[in-house]
Formats: sequence, C-alpha cells, structure tokens
Amino acid sequence: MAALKLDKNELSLLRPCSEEELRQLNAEIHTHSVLKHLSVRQQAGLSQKLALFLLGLIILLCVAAPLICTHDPTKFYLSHLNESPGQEFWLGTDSLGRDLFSLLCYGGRSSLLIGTIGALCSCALGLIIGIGSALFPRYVGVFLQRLIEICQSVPSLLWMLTIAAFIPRRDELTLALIIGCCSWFSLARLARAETLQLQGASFMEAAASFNSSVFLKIRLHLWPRLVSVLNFAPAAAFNQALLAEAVLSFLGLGLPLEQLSWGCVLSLSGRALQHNAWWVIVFPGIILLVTMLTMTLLCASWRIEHKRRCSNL
Amino acid sequence: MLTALIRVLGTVFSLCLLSVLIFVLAHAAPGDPLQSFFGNAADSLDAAQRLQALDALGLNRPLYQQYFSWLQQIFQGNWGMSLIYRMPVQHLLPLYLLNTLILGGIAFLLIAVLALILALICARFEGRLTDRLICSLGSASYFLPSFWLGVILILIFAVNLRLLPPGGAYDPGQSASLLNRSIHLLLPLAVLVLSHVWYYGALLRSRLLEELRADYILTAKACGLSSVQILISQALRTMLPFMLQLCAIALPHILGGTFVVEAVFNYPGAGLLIVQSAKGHDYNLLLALVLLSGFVMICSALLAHILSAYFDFRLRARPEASWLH
Repeated sequence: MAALKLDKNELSLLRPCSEEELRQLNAEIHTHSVLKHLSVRQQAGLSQKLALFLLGLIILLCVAAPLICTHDPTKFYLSHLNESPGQEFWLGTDSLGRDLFSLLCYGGRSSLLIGTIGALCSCALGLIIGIGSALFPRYVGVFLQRLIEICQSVPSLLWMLTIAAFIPRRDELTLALIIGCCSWFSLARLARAETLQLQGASFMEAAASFNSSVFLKIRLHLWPRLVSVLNFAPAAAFNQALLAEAVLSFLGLGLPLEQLSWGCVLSLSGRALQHNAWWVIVFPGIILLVTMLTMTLLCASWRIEHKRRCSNL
Repeated sequence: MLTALIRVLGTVFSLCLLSVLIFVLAHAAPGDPLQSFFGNAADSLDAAQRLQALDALGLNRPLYQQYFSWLQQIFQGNWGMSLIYRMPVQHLLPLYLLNTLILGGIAFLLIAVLALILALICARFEGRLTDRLICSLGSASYFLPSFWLGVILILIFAVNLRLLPPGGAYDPGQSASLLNRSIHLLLPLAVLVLSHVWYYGALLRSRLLEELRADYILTAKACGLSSVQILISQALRTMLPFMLQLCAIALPHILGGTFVVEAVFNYPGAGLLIVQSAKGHDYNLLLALVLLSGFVMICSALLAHILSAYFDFRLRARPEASWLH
C-alpha cells in the first residue's frame, strides 16, 4: 500500500495537476485502503458474536425497561427489605425495598447515556487537541502540547472529582460532560504522535507543495489513517466513561441518590455490607463488567494484530 | 546536554502552567474567600473589618499580583485552612501522606516484582497453556473495577469469613502495632496489586517477547545456555532501561490508584482526604492535593526521561571504546 501511495504521489509531482485531480487521486488511494481494511474486520469469531449478542441484550433490557420490568424501580416495598433473589424479585431487593432487577434496567439507561455522551465528548476533544497540537504553527502547538502534558500529570479521576466539587448541579448531561472533559488526554497524545509521524510522509509533502489548506490535509490525508489506527478509541472511551460514572456515583459525587444508574446502585453497597446482602453488590458489578468486556472484545476485533516472527528462545 | 536543559526548562514551564491553573481554580471557587483563611471566624466580621481583612490579605489587588503572593505563600508552606478539618492544610497533610506512602510504596514494590516474574514465566512458555492462562487471568483482573473488587473482598473476607478487618489503617489505640497495621493493609494491597499488576505485566511481556526475537538470543542459545539462563542473564539485562522508565511512570500511577481503594477501605490517606474534601467543598485542601499530585507526576516524568537516557547503554556505547578494552 505504501509503495502505491509513493508512486502515485511521485507521479503527481512530476506533472502539475490541479487540486481537484489530486483530491481524486487521494480519494482513490484511501478508498482502496479502507476497503482492504474492511475485509480484515469482517472475520468475526465466535467470541465477537457472543459479545455482540450480550451487548445487544443489555441495551435491549435498558431500552425496553418499561416492557420487561415487573416492578416500579422507584417504589419502596417496605415488607420486602433486603430480600434475597427469588420468585417475585428476580435479583432481590435493596435495603430500601426496591426491586434490584428494575433498578438495573432503568439505571442502565442513564449509565449507557453517560457512557455514550462522555465517549463522544472525550473523542472529539482528544482528536481536535491532539491533531491541533501537531499541525498548528509553533506557539499554539507548543501550548497545546503543554496543555496535554499538564492535564495528564493529574489522574483523570482526580480532575473529575475536583470539577464535580465545583459544579453543584448534577444531572446526566453535566456529569457526562465532566467525564468527557477529563478523559481526553491519552487519546490526544496518541493522535498527536500519529499526526507527527504522518507529517513526515511524502504525500503530506506533496499536499504542502500544492499549498492545500489545513482542512483538506486533515480530511484527505490524516483522517483515513487516524481512523484505521485509532478505531479502538471510541469503545475505550465509552468504557472509561461508564467506569468513571460508577466510581463517581459510588464515591457520592456523581448522580444524586434519587436518580437511577448502575453507579448509584453500587453506592448502596456500603449499606448492603451491613446486612450481608451480596446480591446488591454482585449483580450491578457483573452487569458493568459484562458491558465493559463486550465493548473491549468488539473493539479488539477492529484492531489489526501485527504478526511476530517466531521466538529465538 | 542541551536537550536535557530544554527538557528541564519545559518541566519548569509545565509546573508554572499547572500552578496558574490551580490558582485560577482556587480563585473561581464558590464561597467567601475570607473563609478559606479564617475558617468560620470569617462569618462574625462586620463590613469594615471585612474590608480591612481583604486589604491585609491583598485579596482586592490585581489578579497577577495575587498570583505571585499566592505562589510565595505556597513556597513558604502556608497552604490555607481546611474547612472540614478546621486546621491548616500543611499540618494536616503529612500524617495522611505518610499512610498513602506506606500503602502505595508496598503496592509498588509488590507490583514491580510480580509483574516481572509473570512476564518472565510468560516469555519462557510463550504460546503454551501457562502463558495463555496467565494472560487471560491477568486481563480479567485488570478489567475488574477496583472499587467493586474492594467491596467484594470486604464482603468475602471481613463480613462472611471474619478473617480480616473491613477497613481503616489500624484498630483504635494500636497505631504503633506493626502486626495490626499489616493486617489492615492486606485487603487494600490485594486490590491494588490485582488491578495494576497485569497492566505492567503485559507491557513487560510484549517487550520481552520483542527482545527474544533478537539475534543475540540465538547466539546465546548456540553457545549452549539454557532458556532460563538466557532469560535471566541476557534478555533481562537489555530490559533494564525500559524497566526503570516504567517504574518512574508507575510510581505516580499507582499512588494515584490508591485513592479509590482508600475511599473504599476508609484508609486514612491522601485519597480519603481528596474524596472527603471534594464532597465537603473544601477547596483549599482539594487544590493543595491536586497541586501536589501534579508536581509529583511531572517530576517523575522528568526522572523517567533522565533515567532512560542515562541507562540506555546502547545509546551511549561507542564502538571504538569497546575495542580498546
């Protein structure tokens, strides 16, 4: 693929060609590489199919919660406090007498929403700042690079706690934005490294020699390559946001208790420990873990494994 | 030499930027600024006294002047009052930081040793059942959310089996007892090690496997060394700079990982302080901890850079020098 790119770019260097022609040429090259990529992706194994099935099941449970759940998640069944899993309450009840299964179904809605919005926000910020720090001229680039370094010097969770302490209003969107704004650092770093590496490529020099604009460079040259290298990032960001919501709510700085989410259910575990109610602790953790694992399995299938030579040992 | 100087200057610049960021955050903190200096005594001041106090503290001077005086205060060790503990932050921190250092330091040593041993075992039995077993178990333990793992361990070992205490650093009145302290450390340490070890184990394993593809391994094998000997005496030596660099990166990472664990186990360390100050809107304490952790991280990144430049023999070795000996 690299050889093809080089040849065509060298050809285009030999004779003067318009930007339109160059664009067509590049589009052709990239369509080819993306197609080649797709054929790698389509070999989904059994584990990927299983992961897709489980993830679909969880999403279905959350979306169709009113149809599936047999109890109202906000209703306190005072005669059934801390009941273990059984016929009426499938996964048991918590210390306030709420049905755990309904809590998990309804709670998944805000958890998944926060995960999605947080992931979108962190991917967008990470890509913009990462690419920007590599492409922009000297001082802006250096400033952005320092910004990435400083933000990374404090753990994401500590930033989230700090900002959450500053913002009194807590709803799903605010929390998702807090999480998104505090978790873009590593992606920005990766995007920056990748962009810097690409800037040395000959097709970038060719584009520069035709005086093409920054946006054209990004759209035609950087974006296709970045997508193929960083395509695991959305799933990883989703996992991070989901986990961050759970941790923040668990620590008492996420959503308020009366709102339902997996983290809020997990924050009841302190009280559950006193009653030895294992189901309140185990089931939310398992559903969180399964969601994260399936997302990771799915995104691992997108990455291309590079083959090692055999060992000399 | 010049690149090292640029690197150090960059670090200093980063620290300055971090301090500006923290200052802006501290300035934007909601609530009465006087309260962060005097605690609740600020409420009993009348208007004239307030104005006088603001003047004396320089709180109505221009922002950049306030920044420099704030920086001076920080350097002099005057970090303001903690609202929830009702004492100066600089007196509060050392005790809690020591507890975190004990927990984080022991966890760091355990993780470093265990990760190396696991990586060596994986490299020795690459692609076989042992390797695959360690890899999958390691990934599973890495994926468990650490706070959830902590609660599960409390549920099993403290609530049901009643073997270990559920939290705290020591029982009341037994702060000097080493045995009591180490019993309390067991569960937090287990969580920290389980949730961090495979991150570094996997990094070391993949690096070790890359290294085993090199030609000098083949030479060593041709000389008749056994696999274990090659691993220990040849491959491990070339890994040394990478390991040192990894350690310098891992130290703040693991120290940062302690604070969720501390909050779960109610362990009186910096992490618990962070969570409590964030919950209680105690901005002086919170921002002091953010500043401190940023400082540690930036400095250890510089340390990692210097260490790897210093210890990478392949970068420093000159071929003509080796012929002279």
